[in-house]
Amino acid sequence: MKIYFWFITYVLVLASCTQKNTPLAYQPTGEVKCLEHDDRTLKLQVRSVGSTFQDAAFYADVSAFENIFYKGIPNSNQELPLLGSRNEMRGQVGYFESFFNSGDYMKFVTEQQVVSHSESNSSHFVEKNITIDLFALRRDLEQAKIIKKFGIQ
Amino acid sequence: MKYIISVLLCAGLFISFAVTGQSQDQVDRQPTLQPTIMVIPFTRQGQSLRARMESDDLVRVAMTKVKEGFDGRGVSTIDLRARLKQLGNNEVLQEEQQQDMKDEVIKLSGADVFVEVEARPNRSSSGNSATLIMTAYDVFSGESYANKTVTSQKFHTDNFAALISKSVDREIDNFLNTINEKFTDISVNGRTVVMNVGVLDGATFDLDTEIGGEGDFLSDVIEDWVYSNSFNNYYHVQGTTSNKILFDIVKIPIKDDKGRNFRVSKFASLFVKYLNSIGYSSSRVINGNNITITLEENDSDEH
Repeated sequence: MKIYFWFITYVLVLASCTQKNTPLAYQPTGEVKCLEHDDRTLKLQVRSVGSTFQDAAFYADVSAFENIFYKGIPNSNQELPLLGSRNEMRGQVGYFESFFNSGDYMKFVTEQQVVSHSESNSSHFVEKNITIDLFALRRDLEQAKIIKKFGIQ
Repeated sequence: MKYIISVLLCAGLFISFAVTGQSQDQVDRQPTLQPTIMVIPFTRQGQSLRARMESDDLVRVAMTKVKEGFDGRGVSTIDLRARLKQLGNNEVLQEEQQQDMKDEVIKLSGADVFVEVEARPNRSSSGNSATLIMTAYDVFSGESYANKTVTSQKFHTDNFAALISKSVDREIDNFLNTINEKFTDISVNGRTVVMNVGVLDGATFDLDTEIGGEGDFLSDVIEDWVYSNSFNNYYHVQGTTSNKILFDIVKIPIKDDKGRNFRVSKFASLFVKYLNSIGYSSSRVINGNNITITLEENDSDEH
């Protein structure tokens, strides 16, 4: 009986010590750098981390667009944020859900390349270059009435 | 019978789609007030716009690229050269002879915003580069909307036009975004004008004259009108004396109820009409976003 008790206790202790693999959620970061740009496109280098390689690569895409949307990219042709604050965009949930979750954003990615990938403690670190058609993105946001056209309204 | 019902249903559906489409179309056509924009070369005192544009290839390239940038955002620009030709038969005929007709050309062009472009080649033993300066101004107030200076990388080339073209490409989006931010600010908060209301020397009344039966001073009545007619009731009085009130900030809307440009002159006219309605004649002078109203003796009635 005692043996059973110690065995169960041992199993429970072991189980509690086992590291739980909670998937890493997307964390907004500013690790986005402009590599080059012209009057239409913007090439960015983005770093991100995720539980899997796919997650990390996806988070890199999200980070690239979110930095364009809400923060602006220093030394680029989009130094000012393309959109207003996140709060202002709360009313546009539908557009952004479909934008990221349904992969609509890929319409504006003209080129992408994973530059490096490493894994440490079940976390995947990805560095990715993404070229975004900023002109088309702006047009799409204007047509969806997320941003206003150039001029006074 | 069935046939008639189906036809009627189809017709009903068609009409409802047409009506919905129309109303959606109306929503989509909610006007974005497109300011008229003119791109001009930077000129020094006494330099002719036309001569500057025609003699400097680099400036022409820069101007064309900037105009392309506006086109890309769906904004057509006024072509300076065409406008000079169009105006050539009247006041601006002397543009080349006059010392400084730039202001006149801008005012007569009908532009709301003008963008001044300067392009300069830089030569050095380590390579050549080009510097581009773009500045956008409000024609009415002279207020600067956006400024950008960009110097290209150095290359061992004499193709300065390509360097300037690249420089415009690099900065035009930021330049346009900054202008658009100013437009957004104006849309939300209105345009600022300064209004100076004074009484003509020698008049038999001043701003402390009581008018109406309730003992209101003329200055109070004027301030009430400005309060009621300023955009979002936003105004600020810098100072008041017995014969002068200076409103250093009066916000006016950018467009009227019909979506047309609401010009500074319109605001001044409304004020003059109001003064007339309470028995005061007045004259007005408008200079940019400055309005000067002078109250005069009204010959026809007593106050």
